[in-house]
Amino acid sequence: MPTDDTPGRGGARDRPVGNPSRSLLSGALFGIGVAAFLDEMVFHQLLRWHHFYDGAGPDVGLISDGLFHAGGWIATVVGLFLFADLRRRRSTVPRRVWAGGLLGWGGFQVYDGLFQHKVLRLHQIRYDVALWPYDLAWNVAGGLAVVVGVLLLRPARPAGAGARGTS
Amino acid sequence: MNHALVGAPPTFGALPVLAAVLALGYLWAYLTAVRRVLRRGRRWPALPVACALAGCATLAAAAVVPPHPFVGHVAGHLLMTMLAPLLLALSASVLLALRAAPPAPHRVLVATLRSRMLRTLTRPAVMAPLVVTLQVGGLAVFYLTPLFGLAHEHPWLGTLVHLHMFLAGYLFSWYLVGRDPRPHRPSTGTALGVLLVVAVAHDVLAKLLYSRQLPTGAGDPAQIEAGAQLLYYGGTAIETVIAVVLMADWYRRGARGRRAPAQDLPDTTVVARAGSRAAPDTSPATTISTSTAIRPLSRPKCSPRKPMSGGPTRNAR
Repeated sequence: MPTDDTPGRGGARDRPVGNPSRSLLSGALFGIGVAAFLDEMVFHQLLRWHHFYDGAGPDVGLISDGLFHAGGWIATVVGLFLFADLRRRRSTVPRRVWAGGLLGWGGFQVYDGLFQHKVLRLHQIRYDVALWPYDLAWNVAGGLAVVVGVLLLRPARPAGAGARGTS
Repeated sequence: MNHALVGAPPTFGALPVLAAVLALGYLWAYLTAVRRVLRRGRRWPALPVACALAGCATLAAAAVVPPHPFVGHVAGHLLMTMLAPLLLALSASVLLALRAAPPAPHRVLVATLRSRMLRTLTRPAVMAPLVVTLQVGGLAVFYLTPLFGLAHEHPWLGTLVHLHMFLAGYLFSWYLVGRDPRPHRPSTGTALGVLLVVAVAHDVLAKLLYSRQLPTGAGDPAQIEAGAQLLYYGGTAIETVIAVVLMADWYRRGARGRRAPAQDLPDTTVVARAGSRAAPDTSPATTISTSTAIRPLSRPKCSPRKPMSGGPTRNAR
């Protein structure tokens, strides 16, 4: 973690010790928010592949959908404020933030792809096409993010191989 | 069913009048109080004043949005029961009243704020379920039962229902982000939890309206679908604003100390009366929320922790 690079304001007098758990939480919440945002913006609004409601699944699915939708926005806000607080206290652990972000994004992507799309049948990725390539890409992308996130959870090599090697 | 509303009057009876009276009355009282505070040579930040103005304008605008087609009704609903209450809660009217009131009403106000009833009522274990029930229950009953149609047939019922939903929305916003002093303030975690539950319920309700073509008599499917989507996305937008305010308060508090105190009822004799303490009021809205939250609290003279039982009986023996 880089040390005295930024002229921190406000809480700069606080101990400049990393806060790994809060870094992870901040990243995870923001990751969930990114997943929700991508789903909503790209697939619902821009591409219009997803449907607001396609009538296929049981009403229970609506609770999960509501949680994803409302929770995604709240998670984004909370995650960003947590991150701002980490920066202010100079206790960001970038590697943990990235790990959390990938776990949050990937986890929710897979949850959406497998549980919401398939089990609850809330809606599908796209209609009137062969679905399996979309499902495969969707879940493999999420799964990869989870795997990389888990790998990042392991302690860094001493050389300071920080938050970079993800892609 | 749909024909029930075709000949209905464009608004809910006395609702626009009531909303206009409420908005104008609130604004008049608020500005009078601000003038009193300023005349005493004390400060009152501009942000809450802006919130009061915007809140009253929103309330008045909400009442004149025509409720047909259903989208119009939903727009009015969002403005009246979500946005206006949020803005009014941010205008810190009770705090302003504490600063502006002459001694006698001031004492009554302080006694009320310290009353046992308010202390019990604002406990998270009481207030959080109450707020959720009022918000979610009111919404569900109005939109999922025939009450919606009845409210359109009987204007007085429509007025009553909307008054209830406005007050429930105000309580919700006041509890989560209100700037007024109160015996107990929810922790940020509790507040976020309450917000999440209400937001989820709101989304579920909107999709139920969409999927089941409810409320009965609201118009043809296309109208209901448009209204349900506005309810879904508009509600989320306002709930996100509430989350931002909540977290901004949390962030500001973090600049001073680690935790917010559990109780933040100000020592009103100091905060509201003495001019010498006026200095921290210079910065904008931050001080409204945090000055009351941070300032050390002088406990009531008789400690509430020992309600009659412990000491006296032991001594009597």
